[in-house]
Amino acid sequence: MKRKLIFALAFLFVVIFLVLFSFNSKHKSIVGSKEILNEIDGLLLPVYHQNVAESSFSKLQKLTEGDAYASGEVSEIIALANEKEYSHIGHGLGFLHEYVQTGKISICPGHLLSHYYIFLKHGENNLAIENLESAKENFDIWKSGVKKDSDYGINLNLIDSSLKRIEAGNSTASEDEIDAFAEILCA
Amino acid sequence: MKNKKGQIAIIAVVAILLIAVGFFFFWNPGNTSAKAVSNDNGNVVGNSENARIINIDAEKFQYSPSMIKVKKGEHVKIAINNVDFNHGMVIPELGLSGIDSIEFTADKAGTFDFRCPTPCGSGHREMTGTLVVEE
Repeated sequence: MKRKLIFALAFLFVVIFLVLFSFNSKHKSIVGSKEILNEIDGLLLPVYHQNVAESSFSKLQKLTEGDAYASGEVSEIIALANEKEYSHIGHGLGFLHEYVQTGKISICPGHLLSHYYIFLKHGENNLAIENLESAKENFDIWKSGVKKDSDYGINLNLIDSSLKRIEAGNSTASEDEIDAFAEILCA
Repeated sequence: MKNKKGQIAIIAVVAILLIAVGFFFFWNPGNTSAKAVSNDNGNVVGNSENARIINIDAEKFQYSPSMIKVKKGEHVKIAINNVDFNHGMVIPELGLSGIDSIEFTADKAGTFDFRCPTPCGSGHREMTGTLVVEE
């Protein structure tokens, strides 16, 4: 009887071990990871020198596996690297750093709109649409959460009019406009 | 006697089980502390309790103070307070970069520019400062 109980407990132990191992490897939080923060810090310089390619982000990609937001951000960074959009990579690394450091996800419809126009320019229509949809979803959250500084009204009109223009079938934007969208404060 | 052995075995199994549960929920290899390493330029970078901390504010489109003076051989940590955006800092000539801090041993005397690595607006290019490493 005792022996059966020991075997049962041992079996239970193995099952729980495997379940926890599987859960843990997939859902381990990356928030607070010094390794990722250091990796991001180290990438700033090559990005500054415009000396990055897809492979430059392999380690970051591996380190953020299993975290939906972070891995999505890294995929976006890689797509931007492939298009040689270096300044926008810098933004992405900044957002990723904030997320890994604090767990906070920045709400940036302006930034998402800038990526919409960039990916559209490079013929990456699926990525463009993804960014547009996210921009629309985030717009109301941004309005209620963003700091109402002196630029708020201008930025609000900029995003609002752009979304309306796109809705009406006009997806053109100058480089200056794209830069202006990218610089809009996040919530 | 046999009964006692069985009880000990059960307790051991339960204890191992509890340790395993704790291990998998609380151990996170991503949160290990960074060790001191060298960058491509040979500067010692990384975490150290002996570093002199220099606080600097980074705000569109300036660093305050915009000039930092350190002694050659000094181990310093520039702690960046990003006020409105994750500006960070790069010191290209020394091969150093970081979002909220840069730590290194100033083993090369001279004057080095530092700048904002994350494009932050129309004045981004002017967001610069100077690190002076004195003999």
